[in-house]
Amino acid sequence: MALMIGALILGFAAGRCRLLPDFLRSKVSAMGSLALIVLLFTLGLSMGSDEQIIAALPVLGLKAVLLAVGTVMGSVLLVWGATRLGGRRR
Amino acid sequence: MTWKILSSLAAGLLCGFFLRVPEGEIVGLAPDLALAALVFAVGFSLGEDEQLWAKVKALPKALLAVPFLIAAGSILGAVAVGPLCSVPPAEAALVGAGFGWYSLSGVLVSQSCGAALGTLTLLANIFRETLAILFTAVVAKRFGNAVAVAPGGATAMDVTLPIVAASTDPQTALLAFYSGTVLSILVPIVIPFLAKLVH
Repeated sequence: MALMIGALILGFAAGRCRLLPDFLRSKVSAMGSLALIVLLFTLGLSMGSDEQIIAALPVLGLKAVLLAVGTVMGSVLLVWGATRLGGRRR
Repeated sequence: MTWKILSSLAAGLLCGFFLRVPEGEIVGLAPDLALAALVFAVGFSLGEDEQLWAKVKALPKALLAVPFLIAAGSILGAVAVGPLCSVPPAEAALVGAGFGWYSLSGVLVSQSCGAALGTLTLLANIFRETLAILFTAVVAKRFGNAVAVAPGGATAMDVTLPIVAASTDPQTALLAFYSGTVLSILVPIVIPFLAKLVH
């Protein structure tokens, strides 16, 4: 957790304060994409290696659809409720 | 980028399926370093955008709360449907905290809570992006412009931004960009925090 937040703050500060030389600045997003590709490959690797996950994929997919609907409905309801409250106050 | 994401995931899946790599051999120092590099790059691109601050200042103050309402609503909504699909509250909360950013949330959750929950997080957030693409225009019409920013979550700053812009007005497009940015920053903060509740 500390690693993630530290990396986020460090990255933000480096971008904001122009800490990196020009030739490195353009490389940062490429480094990020490369890291993402490596991570997704390893995630795929552990998914594919795990028989239980492969067998559970249809069930996981169904759960995922329900959870996705839940997140969309929850966020829509809260923002909608807040806009209605805000509108009434005005 | 989308095809790169999907093809690296698919390549990993196929390799894993045929080679059967034991879980212990995948986790090492490399994923941690790669994760830090990825999050660093996210922070960097946000910090580098000088116009970002001017854009945020141009928004009405009341709208600044929108991304935090979206964050709370996403997590609560996932927890609420958890019992329907037998997903415990802490795990549902983690899935919801991806805010639609499936690549980052998928890897973050799989690193801290294992590949099974990581897979669920990845899939649910892919579906969230799909739902946002399909229903943003409907939400704008039925519930009002500001609410149209909610379905996309973190993707409102990139993938679903054009859809929000097309179905609302310029100020809402600005709100979408701001909200997506805040939610993107929240993903690597909230997920590690919630992951502690699962253990």
